Amino acid sequence: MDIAFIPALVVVISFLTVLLRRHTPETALAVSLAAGLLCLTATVFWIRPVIEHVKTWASAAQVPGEYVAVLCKGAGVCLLTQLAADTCRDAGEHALAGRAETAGKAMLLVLALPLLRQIGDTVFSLLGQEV
Amino acid sequence: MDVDLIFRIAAIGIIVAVLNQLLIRSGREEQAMMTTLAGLIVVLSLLVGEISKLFETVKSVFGL
Repeated sequence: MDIAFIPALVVVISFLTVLLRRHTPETALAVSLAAGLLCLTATVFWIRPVIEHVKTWASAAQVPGEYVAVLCKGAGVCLLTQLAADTCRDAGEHALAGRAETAGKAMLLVLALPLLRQIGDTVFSLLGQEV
Repeated sequence: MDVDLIFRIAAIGIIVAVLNQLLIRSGREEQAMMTTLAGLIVVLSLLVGEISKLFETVKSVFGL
């Protein structure tokens, strides 16, 4: 896929949605969602080698694998949450977008919980207290 | 996923808009509403597969 493909596609789809929004707003939303899905899928495919490299470097720097896994999972959760929230905002549902973002933040906290627990354990052991 | 899908959805939207105008002008509001609903269902059924495909891709790439 060419580098100019996604910007060109996005501009063309914007014109199309402006045309469609006047008569069928729900189809305009569907068209913009489909274009967003296409862009996001292409981006995720492009970014795959970067993630593999980061994993290789982390293992070379002897960072535990589960830390990198938490990082990658967090990035995936952010992508999906932003897609959902932006779609809701396009449809005019700002409250639902906020709920989706809250759910994403909670999911990130749950993902990072083992790391937070380790930091807490380290702090308490430095202070000489037992948890 | 192909670019064709986006333009197919847009074409469905234009057809539904034209049908809607025609049916409203000829005084058949109920049928116009049914046409809009049918168009929406067709578009959503086209989209659901793509959404699940994106979710599977993100899951496999980011290890969710």
